[in-house]
Amino acid sequence: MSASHIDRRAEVVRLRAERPRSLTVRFSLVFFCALAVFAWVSGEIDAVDFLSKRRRANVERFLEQDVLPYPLRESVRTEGGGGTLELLWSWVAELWTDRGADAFWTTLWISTLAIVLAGVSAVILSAPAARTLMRTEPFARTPARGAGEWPWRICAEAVRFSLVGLRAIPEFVWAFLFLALFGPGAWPAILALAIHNAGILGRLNADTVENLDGGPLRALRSLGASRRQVFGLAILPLALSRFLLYFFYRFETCVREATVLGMLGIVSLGYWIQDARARQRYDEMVLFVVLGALLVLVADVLSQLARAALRRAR
Amino acid sequence: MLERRFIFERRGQIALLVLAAGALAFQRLGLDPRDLVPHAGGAQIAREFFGAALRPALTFEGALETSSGTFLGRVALALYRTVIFAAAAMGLAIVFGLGLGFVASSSWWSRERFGGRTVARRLSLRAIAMSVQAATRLFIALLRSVHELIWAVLFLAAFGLNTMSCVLALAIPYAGTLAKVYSEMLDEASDAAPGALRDLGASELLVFLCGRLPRAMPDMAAYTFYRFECAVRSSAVLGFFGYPTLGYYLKLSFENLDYREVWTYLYALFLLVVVFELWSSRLRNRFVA
Amino acid sequence: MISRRTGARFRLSGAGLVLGGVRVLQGVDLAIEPGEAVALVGPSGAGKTSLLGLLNASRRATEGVVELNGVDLAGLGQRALRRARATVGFVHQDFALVPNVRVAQNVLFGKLGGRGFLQGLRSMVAPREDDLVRAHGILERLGIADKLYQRTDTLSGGEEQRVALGRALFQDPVALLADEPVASVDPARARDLVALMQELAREDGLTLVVSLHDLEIAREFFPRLIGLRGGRVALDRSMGEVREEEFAELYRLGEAEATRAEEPRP
Repeated sequence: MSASHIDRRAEVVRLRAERPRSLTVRFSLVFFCALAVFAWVSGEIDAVDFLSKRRRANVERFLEQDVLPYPLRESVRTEGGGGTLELLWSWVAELWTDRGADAFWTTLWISTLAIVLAGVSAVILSAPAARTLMRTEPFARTPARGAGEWPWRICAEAVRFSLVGLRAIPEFVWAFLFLALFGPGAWPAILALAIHNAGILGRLNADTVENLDGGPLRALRSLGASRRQVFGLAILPLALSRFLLYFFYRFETCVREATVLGMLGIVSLGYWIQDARARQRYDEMVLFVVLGALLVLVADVLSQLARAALRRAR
Repeated sequence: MLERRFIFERRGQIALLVLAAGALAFQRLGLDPRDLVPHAGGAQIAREFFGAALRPALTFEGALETSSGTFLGRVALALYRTVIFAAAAMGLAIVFGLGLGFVASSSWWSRERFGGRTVARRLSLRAIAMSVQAATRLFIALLRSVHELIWAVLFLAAFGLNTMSCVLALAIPYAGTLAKVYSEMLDEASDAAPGALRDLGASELLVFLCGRLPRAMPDMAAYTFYRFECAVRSSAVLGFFGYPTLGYYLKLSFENLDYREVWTYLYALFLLVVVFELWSSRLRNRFVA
Repeated sequence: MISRRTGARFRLSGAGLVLGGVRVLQGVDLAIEPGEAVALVGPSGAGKTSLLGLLNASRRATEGVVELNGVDLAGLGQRALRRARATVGFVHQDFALVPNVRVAQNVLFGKLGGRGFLQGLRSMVAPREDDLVRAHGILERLGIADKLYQRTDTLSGGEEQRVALGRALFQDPVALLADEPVASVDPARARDLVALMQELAREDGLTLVVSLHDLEIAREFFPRLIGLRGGRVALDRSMGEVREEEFAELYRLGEAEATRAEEPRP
């Protein structure tokens, strides 16, 4: 019994040593855990100063005075307290009609136009970025391997590569650059959002096209349809739900980003946040932040409703 | 035939609606495509800026540059800090995202999980669980709805410039997003295994950790990796607000009209994202296989 | 191996179960003695899985009494109920394994109910060597010892079923329940599998309750037959006493079920 027990122990050790394992997964896991820990001890992050007395005093002043809406602060000072709620309400209403409403809608329209531009370009770009379509014989079961394949393949990889380039640069950086080129207005924000999202959606859409079932497409092709006809008549109807799902998923993010781009000087909500901060009117700043959060929640709900409708339609 | 069906279907209608919304937005914003032609000064900047694209700087461009060290050293430092801030923030975000995601998922309370002996007690326990879940979901939505740059601005106002506040500004919305997606993935990982572990007497927490979590793990890991890439980009942008990440140096170079330096920073960021892209696709293949 | 303990004694009287407003079991009176081997037959929807759920203490009877080794399950709190579940091994029809962990972990999960939280967690992250050796021994009895460190989702259906059986055995159970184990493997393997379960139960002195579609196999391997129909016990006899016309009746039920399965769901 005991002898076989030892044998079994050895056998378990042997099986364990021979177990299939993935070095990539293991290495990635160790690397990122180590990186996260190292980040905290690297000395770049000053957590001690963050909790210092001076910072605490700052925060206390910020929370107890700066953030308090102006009418509240007044009534606290005069100790009157009467009619505070109405004062507060009229303060909110004034800011809303004065700047808030306008910025709210501008933000929404900027992100809508940007995401539509991004969506349309992503649908167009998905064709040249789809490696299954970019062949001498599209969607063939066994791709040909002649010299004629190379131009197609290079073209597809180049489009994919530039899509990575579009999305690698954050919207904020794009907007910053465009602002210098086009001057203030809505265009820099719209272009920045459209370009970054076209990069993301283009790649997702291209993956969708590549994952389509090749059967119907081959059939259409054998009837003599051109590449463009295959794309318009078969790929688009087949993949449209997917395209739209991704589109609405990005819409919400787009609204979030549009709010922020205002900080560069485009008149969206972020502009007034930055403006209030510059004038040290932190009560107004917080109000606009809340307004921005509301806008994002609205966009979130809209996007979820649209996606639910799409899922039902499928 | 195909086209007609396609137009009349729901998704076709939604697509048309989307295009109409775009047109409406264009009209409401009072946009003029002619504004897309850069103004006189802008055209000059554009020429110089895009002219520099093929000649990124390898040394300091500005004649007045007095700082020590080489330019590439500075690029490396900027990248290093960008990644370090992103990693620190993701560390926090993952911990809180997991906790919140667990509470926000339905997996820990649904069905006959609560062992009250009477029906009334079971129902009231379930009501409490559902309200805890709803409250957590609302909290997550609030975390998410404020952009990291706005958190950064808020923290700047409240704390002043401090690297920890930069990390927190990143970590808060990212924790919210991770929590939301984690909870969805945990709920979607519907499997027989958790039920079986429950049937052999495991406690709810163990059922979750051993039965449900491993199942959702590959998806969660892949998504976390993608968010890390986003965090790197956001961390770079936070530099525009004075934190010592890539955006700080990029802005500085742009304002000094050192466009070739700007391109070096852009290419560096691009390279970083490409590395992430290749890495994550390799990981994904591993997970699927 | 020598049987270390006596198997479970189940006693049900007037037991009934309502699930989601639907009555799935009613007035079930049964006694299953330690070490007995029982086949549970009947058309699907007759309540076989629900009855196994009652025996496993994973469902509470809505009426009547269910006793496991003389303890009334209805009176148990959550903790005691979990302890009761830990003593009964249950092989699910779809095996219910965690697909993307190794076989060793799935087998070790069998003890999640019998140990504390940290011990349980450890079985997933850093298993104890003694546990691994025990798991290896169990897998060897099941003929898949070399799969100990394979990822579970790389196994074949038959192998996965054996892992599920291994998990149940790792519990150190007093009873082994299996829900339609034959339905998920091909007919040639089915006999081997039932024979294997019989042998394991006999060696360890476990009470064995298996729900089956296949009357032939039930007849061949089990000394006692319990027939369910419409949530009631229609038949409870030792195999020798079952008359031919009763078998015919059960077969007929099986055929009726086969045609009903063709109908689309509402």
